[in-house]
Amino acid sequence: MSAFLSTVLSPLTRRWQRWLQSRHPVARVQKLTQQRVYIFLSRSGLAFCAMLLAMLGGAINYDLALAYLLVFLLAAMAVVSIFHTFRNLLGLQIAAGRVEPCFAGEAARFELLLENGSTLARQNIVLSYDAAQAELDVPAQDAARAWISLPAAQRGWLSAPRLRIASHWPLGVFQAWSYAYLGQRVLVYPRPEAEAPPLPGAAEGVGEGVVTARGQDDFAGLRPFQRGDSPRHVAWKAAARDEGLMVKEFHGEASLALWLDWDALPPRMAQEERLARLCAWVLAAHAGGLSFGLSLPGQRLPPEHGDAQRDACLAALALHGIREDA
Amino acid sequence: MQAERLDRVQVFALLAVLGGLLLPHAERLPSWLLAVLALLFGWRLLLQYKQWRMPPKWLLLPLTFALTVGVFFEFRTLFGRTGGIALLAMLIGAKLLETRGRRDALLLVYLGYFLVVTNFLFEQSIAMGIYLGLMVLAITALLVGWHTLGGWTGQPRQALAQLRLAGTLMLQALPVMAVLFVFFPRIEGPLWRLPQDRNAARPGLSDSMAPGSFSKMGQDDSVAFRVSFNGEGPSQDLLYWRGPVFDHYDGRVWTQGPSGLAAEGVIQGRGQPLDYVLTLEAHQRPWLLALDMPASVPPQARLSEQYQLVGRRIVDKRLRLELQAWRDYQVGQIESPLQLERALQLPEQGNPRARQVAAGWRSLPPAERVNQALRFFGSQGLQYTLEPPLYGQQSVDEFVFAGKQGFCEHFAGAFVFMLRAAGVPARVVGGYQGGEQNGDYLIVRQADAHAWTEVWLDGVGWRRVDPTFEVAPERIREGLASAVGAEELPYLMRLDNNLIKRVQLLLDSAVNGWNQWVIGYTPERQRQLLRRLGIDDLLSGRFIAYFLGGLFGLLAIVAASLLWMARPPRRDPARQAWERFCRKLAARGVEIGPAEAPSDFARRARQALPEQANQIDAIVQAYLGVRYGQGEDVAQLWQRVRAFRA
Repeated sequence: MSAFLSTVLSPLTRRWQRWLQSRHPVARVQKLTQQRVYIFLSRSGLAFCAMLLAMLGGAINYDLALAYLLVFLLAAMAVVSIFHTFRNLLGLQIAAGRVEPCFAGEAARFELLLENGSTLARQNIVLSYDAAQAELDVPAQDAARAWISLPAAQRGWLSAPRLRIASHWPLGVFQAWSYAYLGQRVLVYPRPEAEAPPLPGAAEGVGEGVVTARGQDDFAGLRPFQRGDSPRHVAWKAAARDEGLMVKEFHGEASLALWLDWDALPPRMAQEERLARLCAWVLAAHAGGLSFGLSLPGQRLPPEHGDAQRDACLAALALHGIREDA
Repeated sequence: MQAERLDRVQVFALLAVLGGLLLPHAERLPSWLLAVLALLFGWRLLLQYKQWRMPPKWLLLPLTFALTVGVFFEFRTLFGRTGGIALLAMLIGAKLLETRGRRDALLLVYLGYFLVVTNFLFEQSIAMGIYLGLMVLAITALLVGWHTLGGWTGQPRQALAQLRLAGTLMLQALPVMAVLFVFFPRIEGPLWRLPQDRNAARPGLSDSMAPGSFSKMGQDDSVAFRVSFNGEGPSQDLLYWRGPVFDHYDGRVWTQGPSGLAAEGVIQGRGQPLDYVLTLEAHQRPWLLALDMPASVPPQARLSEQYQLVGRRIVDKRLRLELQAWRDYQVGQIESPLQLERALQLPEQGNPRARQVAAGWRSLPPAERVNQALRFFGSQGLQYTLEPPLYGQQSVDEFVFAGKQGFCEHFAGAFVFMLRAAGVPARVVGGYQGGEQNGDYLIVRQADAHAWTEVWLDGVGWRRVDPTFEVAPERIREGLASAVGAEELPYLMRLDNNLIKRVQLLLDSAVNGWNQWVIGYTPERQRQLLRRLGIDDLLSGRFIAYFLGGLFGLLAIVAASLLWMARPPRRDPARQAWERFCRKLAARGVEIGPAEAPSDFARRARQALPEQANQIDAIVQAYLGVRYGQGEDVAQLWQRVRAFRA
């Protein structure tokens, strides 16, 4: 039966999804225009209607003019509230904000920005990615931001699902909602091994496994600027020659550099275990202020200090074996 | 947010609103129930203030059950009006004790609306309408608070804003409500009827006439009915409002005999019948009241053999009747022998002195006997008073020959007794006499209740004779107040026209309008009004056009004005110039972030496009200048933006 249902329903669901996507194209910024805002009775609105019907029955049965009046007043208020609820969403501009990467098993955070250009304050807007939701007010001609946390189970890219923007305000009888495909995604790092063995260098003596290292001592050349590079290392003369931002590279002190090597791990360890251990080591090395490099099958990150190096290594671990645009 | 706990202020607001809605029911509920209700409300309040834990389920369930059983034993039912309300009140009290969060509270708020309707079951006065209107405002404000972020936190400003929004919603809904009220097809109730719904007897005429039954009503100034005449009404002494006809006497009590329907055309009127509208208050009796003699029978009524209008069912709600009366008429010239026999019925014995006097009139022709009887009543020194003594077994003799003090029922009863003893068919007619003019309508109060007689004369038919008139003609000409001492009368019936009385009359005309147009808007009234708009049928295209056209027209106005307020403001030229600049930069791969300040954006742009840094700087300066008013003009900004080569 369920198999039958799914064969019948799944093409319909797919069509529905496609139709929705065509109405709400993927964009980092989206405006809630009239065509994109939907409105219908909410669940408590159905209870409200049932109550109105019961009251109408009483009004007819006992011939109570004032009960008629009340039923009509409440019905009219519910209908008027449609427009209040609808305009509460109308014209809002929603934009994808920053994202906060996390480790698998934690919650990734997505920032959303709501901009209200109108002179009407917007009340109690509910943003939700699946079950996770955030509520906020957007004052008139102002913007507001909200963070939504999504559980990240696996390493790799975590793409935010369809964003639902909804409002029950003011009476809760009607609910207006819209969708936005903002294409927000966040990198989920592997879960670090809980009780990882100490860093290989610390255990077996400094310098073990170290081949070469790039550091800050001897000038070695220029490479393009990356996020996290120290501004002190930017080659400003090169920048002035309009060659783009370049960063000076130096050969560092080899003895302080550390290689975290996939192949050096015990052979019987599985892929995810290796990633977990390397992840824990990257964090430990960064916390210890060490300069470290990472060697993965098919990828080598030369030793480096700092947050940028940590992030680059964690990203490499997160995406190991995963196609970049998956 | 749905699972959020209610805070102290929210609980207090909820309890206050529910309490306010249950308050008018207090007089209808037994005291033990009120005590339990107060206990439950107090318990909930205490729980909140002391932060105690909610009572567990194993306590709540038996409690609810016990309360339900209690209500059942008190009212012998869980349905009907009072029983149902008692049950509802108990369930609300019990629900309060498990109301932690907003979801439960929402249910209670909806029940609040329902409680409003239960109040209308008992009273639909203007005052009650205003009070409950305010309660609806409060409930709606609670509902708005429930759906506002942060809710009702007890800050007066926020509470006020929510009340204002609730009021705005109600005001915006009013026109649509009015259209629905007028056009929504009304159905004649009831859909169901519970035996408990019948009200206890209200004050008013009773279906029998015993000594004291009318004089008791003389103390009651509540309104029996209101009348508005189409044009000039008859003078006070012709205002005989015909009610039940009493033709059977058992020596003490006059009762109504069985009555068939009147034959068609039995009342022959002359001249133009008088049109009037009578709004009868509910009196829990089947009969209606009509000015002597009814010229037409309204659809809700039938005409009895005794020319009395009888409703098709008990008058348990206010009834608006469109009636006609003959001022000049002749009725019952050819009367059935059975009716005449009933009009001569007397008990076997009793009141020997009255019988003896009446026997002396038998030698006269019938019409003379009536005149003789009137003269007799006028010469006995009888007194008209609201507080007659209580007479015993021989009440006619005791009244006429000993006590000599009586109210209309004594006069009418004794008069009919003596005429019957003299061989003239006669009967007592109960009803009201007179009324008080208030603006364009007449108020007839319970104290205006009156009893008079009808005698049948060969060749004439039934003729109205009022023995009270012989003794106290001012009662008939000017009303009760002029015939008895002021201290005997209820306050509103006194003649002195003081300020309070005038205010009362003013209020009564408001009440009359309310009754006519709001409470009295019945299915017939709707049909009449629609007919005046040219709609004969609820299925006609014209009706649908009026109804839906009005509805959607109004809604379109509301919607347009509401959505107009939400429109984005017109973008100023500086902003437009800036956006154009942003688009140009975007084409070069420098996109402005969603919340990036112009100066930050400019810094990035300068780094990305160093060779145009000066130009970018100039544009940003100009934009900020226009924005923050440092003398730069918009034209210059536009010029620079246009000059910028992407």
